[in-house]
Amino acid sequence: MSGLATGLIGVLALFAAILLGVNVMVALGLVGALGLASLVGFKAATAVLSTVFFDTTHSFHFSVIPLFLLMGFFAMRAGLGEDLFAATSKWLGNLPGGLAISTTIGAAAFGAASGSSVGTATVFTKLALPEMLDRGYDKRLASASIAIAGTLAVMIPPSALVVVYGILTDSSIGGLLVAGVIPGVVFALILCLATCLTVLRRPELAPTTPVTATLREKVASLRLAGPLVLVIACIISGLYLGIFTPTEAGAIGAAFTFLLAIIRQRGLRRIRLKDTLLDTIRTSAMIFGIIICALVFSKFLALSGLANTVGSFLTTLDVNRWIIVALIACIYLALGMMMDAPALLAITLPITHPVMLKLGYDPIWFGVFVVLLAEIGAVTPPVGINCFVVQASSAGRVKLEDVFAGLVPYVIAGFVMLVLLCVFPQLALFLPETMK
Amino acid sequence: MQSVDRVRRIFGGFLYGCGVVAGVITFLMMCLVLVNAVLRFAFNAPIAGTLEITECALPLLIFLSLALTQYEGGHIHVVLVTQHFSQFWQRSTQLLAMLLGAAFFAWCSYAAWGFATKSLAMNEQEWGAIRFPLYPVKFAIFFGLALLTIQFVLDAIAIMAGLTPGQRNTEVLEGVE
Repeated sequence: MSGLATGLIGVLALFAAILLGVNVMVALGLVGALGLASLVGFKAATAVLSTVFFDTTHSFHFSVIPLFLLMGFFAMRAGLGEDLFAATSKWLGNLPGGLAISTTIGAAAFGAASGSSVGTATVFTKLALPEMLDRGYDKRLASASIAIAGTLAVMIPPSALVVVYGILTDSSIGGLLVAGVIPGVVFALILCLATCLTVLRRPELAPTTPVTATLREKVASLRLAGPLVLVIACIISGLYLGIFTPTEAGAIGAAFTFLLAIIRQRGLRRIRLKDTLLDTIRTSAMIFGIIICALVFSKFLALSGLANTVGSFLTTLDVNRWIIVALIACIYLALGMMMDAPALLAITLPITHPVMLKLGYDPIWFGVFVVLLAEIGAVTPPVGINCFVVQASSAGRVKLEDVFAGLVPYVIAGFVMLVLLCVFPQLALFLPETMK
Repeated sequence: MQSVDRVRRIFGGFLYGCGVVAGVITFLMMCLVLVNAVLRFAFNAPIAGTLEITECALPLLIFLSLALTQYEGGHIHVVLVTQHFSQFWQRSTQLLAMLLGAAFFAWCSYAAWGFATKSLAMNEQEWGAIRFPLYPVKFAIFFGLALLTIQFVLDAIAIMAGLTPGQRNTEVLEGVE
């Protein structure tokens, strides 16, 4: 059997195994290892398995993942989302759809610290949804604005998902982290604009009840939210200016968030340090399990020649290269509806990344593009994870149909962001190209 | 059925202990990297060996927690198709998934054992600002992979006994915590 046929069978076997409920990590690793064994023999496949676990994890740079996760879990345990929502609603609450806009901005800041799309959606459903509904906001607008705001977490650095992309594609992790800043901020603004336009067109969706807060109260609301935003800004600027490495940024961020958590919860007891650490190591193990096994699968695909053949085929097609990008985008959106973002990246990047490089696209730009696609997939039916989370955390106040129905303007906003990234790639590339 | 559940729980308790050790390593790693960065930035006096220690801490924290994550159902799997199966076929596919997991990680453990024993035989050293033997880290990787293999076997036995192992990270149905 030719290498190409083995590669094709491997891809089909991978999807079959995943759809049959085999752990994504096991499916990737087993298909990859068996594929290698069929191409180069059992001994060579065993040699790959003997080194890949050590070689992948014995790395200072990859230590950034548990540290970013730790920062996120401290931010969640500290209840910093509450402070951010209180602050943003005091400052922005009087705009049309002000509470939904406050949610978006608050979630962007909290998401930057937590790095978790799902975690951000959970926290803000509990904080913002009751307040919006009590003030007469439409269920669809209120719930959808939260579901989409969660996705900002993985765009705006620090973001563990972006690091996963960096490891899987051997791209600059610092560059990728910095690259997400402008697209993340622009996307947050587009989401706010989508809320504004929706409410201006149909004012009954978000009745205006003035949020009364004096300047003193507004400033006071920044007591803990301010330092968190400041530390995120310091991390981004420190990376940009080359003052510290991504791993050091992770450690500084985690330590600072830990300190904020101690201050806010008045001691260690309510932070539940042991549980926070256990959450961190569990998620780290899950992510690294997938990364390592994806690397085995990636080696198999490269050796089979499938990735190269698909790349050569697509690059010699007599079509505009943007059509290929659109095709790849459709694949990501479809798969993003079915699985978690790290698994999605692990399964697809061994094929799509070489194709995009052959087509002349920048790997850092593609990283931002793919992460955005994965996150749009996370709010799109039939299986938008964030929508399930919002519905599940709403204590029965919204139905899943409400969340999906309200997402139409936000998904359009997501597509607008994708188009902007394609038309103006410098949105993602300007900072990495000028960083020190 | 009760004895299967008891063995699984006892083993889970051991994995929890390993997880706590991994958590402590994570926290210490954060402190080390932070202090090193501050000392380097403020006094141009970094802590010698930070890079090497951090490099070796990462595999320890990952492989000490892989099996715990499986015990709690924390590894991602998709139930988009299998949720529509009958009870019998759902259990059959779950059993198949666990057996495949056990087989794959048994293979990985075998490979990691060979890698670790070679490292011990040649007294392989971490090279850098400080030097120390690397084989303990490689044996820790073998240990973590072996624990994961055992956990998959226990989960397979639990399914055969009619129990439902951890379902923490099931995409689509529960999706997330």
